[in-house]
Amino acid sequence: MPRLDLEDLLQGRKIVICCGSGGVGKTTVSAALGVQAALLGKKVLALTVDPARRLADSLGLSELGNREAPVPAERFLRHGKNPAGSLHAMMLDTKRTFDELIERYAPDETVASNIMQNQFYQHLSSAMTGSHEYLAMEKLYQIHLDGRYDLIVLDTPPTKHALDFLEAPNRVRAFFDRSISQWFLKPYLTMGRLSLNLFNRTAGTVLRLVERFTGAEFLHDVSEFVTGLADSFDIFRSRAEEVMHVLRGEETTFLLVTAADRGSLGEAAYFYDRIRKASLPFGGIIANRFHAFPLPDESGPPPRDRDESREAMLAALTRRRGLPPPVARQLVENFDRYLGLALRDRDALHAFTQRSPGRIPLLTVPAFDEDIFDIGGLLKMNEYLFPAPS
Amino acid sequence: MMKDPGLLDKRLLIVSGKGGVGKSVVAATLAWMAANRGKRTLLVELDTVASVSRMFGKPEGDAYRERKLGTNLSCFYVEGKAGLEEYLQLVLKSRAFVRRIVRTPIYQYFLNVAPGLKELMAVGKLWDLEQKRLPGTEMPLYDLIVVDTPATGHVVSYLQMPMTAAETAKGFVRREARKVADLLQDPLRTAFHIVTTPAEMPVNEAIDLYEKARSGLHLPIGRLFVNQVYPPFFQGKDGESYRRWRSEMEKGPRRDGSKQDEWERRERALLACAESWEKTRSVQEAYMGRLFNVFGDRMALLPFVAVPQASLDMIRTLAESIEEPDPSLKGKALASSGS
Repeated sequence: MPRLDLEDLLQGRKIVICCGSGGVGKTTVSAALGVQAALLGKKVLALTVDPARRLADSLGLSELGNREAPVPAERFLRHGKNPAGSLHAMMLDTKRTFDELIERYAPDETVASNIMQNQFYQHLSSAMTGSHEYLAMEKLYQIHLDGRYDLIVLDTPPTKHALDFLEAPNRVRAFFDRSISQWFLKPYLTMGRLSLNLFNRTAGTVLRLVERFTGAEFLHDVSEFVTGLADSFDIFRSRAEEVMHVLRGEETTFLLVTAADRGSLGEAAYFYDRIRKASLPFGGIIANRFHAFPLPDESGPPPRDRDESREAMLAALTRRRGLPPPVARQLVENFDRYLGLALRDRDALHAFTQRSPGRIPLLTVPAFDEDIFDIGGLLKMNEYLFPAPS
Repeated sequence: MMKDPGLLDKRLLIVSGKGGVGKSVVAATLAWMAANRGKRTLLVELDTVASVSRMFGKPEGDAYRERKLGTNLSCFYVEGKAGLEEYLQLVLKSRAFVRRIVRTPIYQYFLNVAPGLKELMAVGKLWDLEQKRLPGTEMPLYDLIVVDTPATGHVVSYLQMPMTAAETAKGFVRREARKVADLLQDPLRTAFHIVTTPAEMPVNEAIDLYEKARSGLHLPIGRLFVNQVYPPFFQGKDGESYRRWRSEMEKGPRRDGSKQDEWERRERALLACAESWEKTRSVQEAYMGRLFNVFGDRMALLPFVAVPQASLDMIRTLAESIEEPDPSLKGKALASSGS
């Protein structure tokens, strides 16, 4: 597989979107990309959703969402770096983003405030699958249109599957589908009761079932929401299309961040297929927390010889170095642990390479012993994300 | 942190935690242990990436079909969409009518927008499985059901649904939801276990999940499984020996023959691994200390197992350390926590 050249990739892009399932170090990788771009002279915004506390603190991210704040140059200087550009960070508040959209598109203030108190809206803006993902895209789109940054790095919300992010705009489009919304514009629904004889049998049954599950109030709330925004449905839909248009553009690139184990890489291959089908611009894969072999040019003796080599190491440690046998044994056991990790990751990467059609640019980043929580740590990660040409 | 004879004497074990901490393999281990003790056990994957069958060396199967994994052990994939269709079948009787309904745009629409409909159906299925009886008897079809759940953020919205529906829904659905909620909240039948690793984000999420499950959902909390724990680093006299060895090597390589150089190289790799172990363990101890303040004796430490992928071997190792906890894993950091 070709090596992913991130420096080259950052040069021509205005939007970098880091996707991946939760817990693979996506936020850290995004922040590290932001740091590097700032060092290269760009004015960068790192847009994140749920950073680890200490990383958030060191980037100067406040509890308050949707507010951009510059990362003070002093935090770079502390680690001997003076950015030619600047790094800004923002914690994304998806609920707030949705509220702002409603305020903008509701016909008047009363309707807007009714909608915001509506139970269905509250569910929609906080819990519905895809809404966080879509609103992250929406905010990205807004900032992109403002044009105040050379580069925006988006760290996508944690999802069950990396794919959920890609499917979000379609869900939104389906949601604001007029033919569906018509059902809720009928006055008998706004009264909170169904007059079933006015429906055809199938649709009536569905609505009756929904009422049974969720209570009549829910249908009333849906109806209030839809009625209030009916005139803006086309706007919402076309906005979702514009967002997709920007995401497909040449100035955008998608990166997939994954852990280096078999399960994560398996998902990565699937994600790659889907992103290609959706004709979105794909930059490459960053396999994080990769364990290299303890002896760089050697993948360890074959299992059959391993016992022999283990004995030799034990003997050497005790006889030559005079280490107590239990200490020597634990040192060798620990070595085996790291060898096992390296074998695991190498096999996973190998299986991934075998399975994936075509040539996907890929980069591995090693597992660090300590948490990364400041610019110093991000700079250390960048030694691997942006290796010096050898 | 001691042997818990009651661990498997429930009807339903829910295993939750952040993605990537080994939640599925812990769920598989608990199920495997129960099956080994002769319990008819069902391992349920609740709307999650299907992975358990591969751990047992079996291919993945379809949703809603029970697959055998071994003696007394099978697995089942539960997913909300299929659950709702099954439920509709039950209510509407006519298969053809259900097929017509699920194809309508308005059904698809509500499936996506109605709050918690899919979640309710998925959790409702757990109750349904618990209720199943051996044909012609009062004996449960499954002695124990172990549930591997979706990642943290989602599991709360799943388990919340029956409680919510028991209050907001009407008539039949409300009564059904109440039964499901009763099962989930019953400490005699159910235990809610959390899996984490001793690292920043998983620990934050575990504590957050614990608070939500306890005070928000009123679930009977079981264990906190802390997975991937490295053994304590050298202490006392062993520590002195280790440091002496390290400083000897820092004096630089001895060059008296090629054989020696090769050994020197190996020894340096041993040292690099040892240094990584020391750092990792020290970071882990800080997080385990934080967890101990919240979870106390509910904590069960599981050793780090380096294998290519979760397999029966790994399950055996984890089962051993659940049955016979290794006291040395705690080290000094948690010395105050009793035996």
